[in-house]
Amino acid sequence: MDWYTTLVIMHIVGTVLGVGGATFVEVHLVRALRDGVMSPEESAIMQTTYTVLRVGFFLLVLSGFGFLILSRLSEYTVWFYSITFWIKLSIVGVIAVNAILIQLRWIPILWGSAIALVSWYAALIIGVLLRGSVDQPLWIPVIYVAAIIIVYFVMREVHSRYTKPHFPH
Amino acid sequence: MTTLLASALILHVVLGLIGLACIHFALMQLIRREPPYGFVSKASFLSAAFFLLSWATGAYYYVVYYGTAVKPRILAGAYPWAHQVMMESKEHVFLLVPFLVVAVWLASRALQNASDPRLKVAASFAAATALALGTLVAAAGILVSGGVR
Amino acid sequence: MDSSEKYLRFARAAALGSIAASIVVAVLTIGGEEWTPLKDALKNAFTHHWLGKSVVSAAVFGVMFLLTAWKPSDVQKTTRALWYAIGAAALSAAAMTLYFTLHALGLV
Repeated sequence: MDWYTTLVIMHIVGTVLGVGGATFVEVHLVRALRDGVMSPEESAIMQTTYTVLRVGFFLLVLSGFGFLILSRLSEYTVWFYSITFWIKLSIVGVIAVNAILIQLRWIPILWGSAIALVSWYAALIIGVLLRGSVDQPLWIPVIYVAAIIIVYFVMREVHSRYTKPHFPH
Repeated sequence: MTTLLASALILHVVLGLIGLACIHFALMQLIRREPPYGFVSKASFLSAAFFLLSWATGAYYYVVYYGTAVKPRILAGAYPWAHQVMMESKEHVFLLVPFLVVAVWLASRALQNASDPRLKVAASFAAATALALGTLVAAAGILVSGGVR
Repeated sequence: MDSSEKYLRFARAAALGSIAASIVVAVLTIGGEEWTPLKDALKNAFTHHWLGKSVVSAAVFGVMFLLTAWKPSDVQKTTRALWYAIGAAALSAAAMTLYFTLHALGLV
């Protein structure tokens, strides 16, 4: 198995763990807060899911840089200056910074959740788009921000319907 | 590029990334209400170690190969600022990071023995600064490599 | 010796070393670009100017650490030193990046 295939597998595993983890963070959160209180068991499930998510993030960043190294060694580096590529990298940065802000409680949890969930799926989708070419890449940030706002309001509705009052939105 | 130089470049990137991951982990643990200072101490120590290794491997590649074989191509290419700004900044900003991480490590050792909120905040910001500088260095590295056509 | 006090001293010493290294790196970098004999001196001593900056910054960190590691410290002193280290690293990084940007634009 060549290095490229290894990196692809690693990147896919990272994506599965990261996107899946981000999805299940929200699912577990709603489930845990049905009674308005997070029990120790529910908290442990959340922590485990966060750990899986972080492992996925690490695999993604490592394999992502692996692709960059392979390209550099084969001197195919045109895409390093692609706007779409840098939008994806920026979104990866948003995921990391958002995680810190959520941990510090410097961002309302639902906004943090919306940003995290949309960012993970956006990185996945943009990664697929990068395999081809994107004609109008500057639309991506617009759609990204709009998606965050929409997902926030969807989450707020879901929480108000299926959970008991627990924290400010 | 010889196999040794390619290996040096690969190791420089991978070791630097692991160093960044370790300081990120240290930061995420430091900002918890009750940080596990033992973990923070180990993570920041490992981060410093990996940054030093990245420094060494990067130094070999840079001194032996970059100046003569890569830099002229970037300067002659479409993005000369990839060397003039990105590489020049990156190679010097990188020098600041390991020492700051060592300070974080020793601060976390002090906190392990006796927790203090003021020291905890300072150590957290030091870790965040090291993480931010390291991330910018990594991003600059992508632009430098992209300037090689 | 109280273990906590020992590490407070060491942390403060490392922070002071980091401050010194940040200042020295910025001075050698910008100074070397503006005054060629400085850059040449580093190159002649260490075969490459950047190797010279690496060695000098590590040496400055080490010397400052050894000079200050024995001095008693407390939480307040160590915390203050860490904040100054953060500021020094951030300012040094900003100054060097700004310099190289202006240099590339031909403004300095």
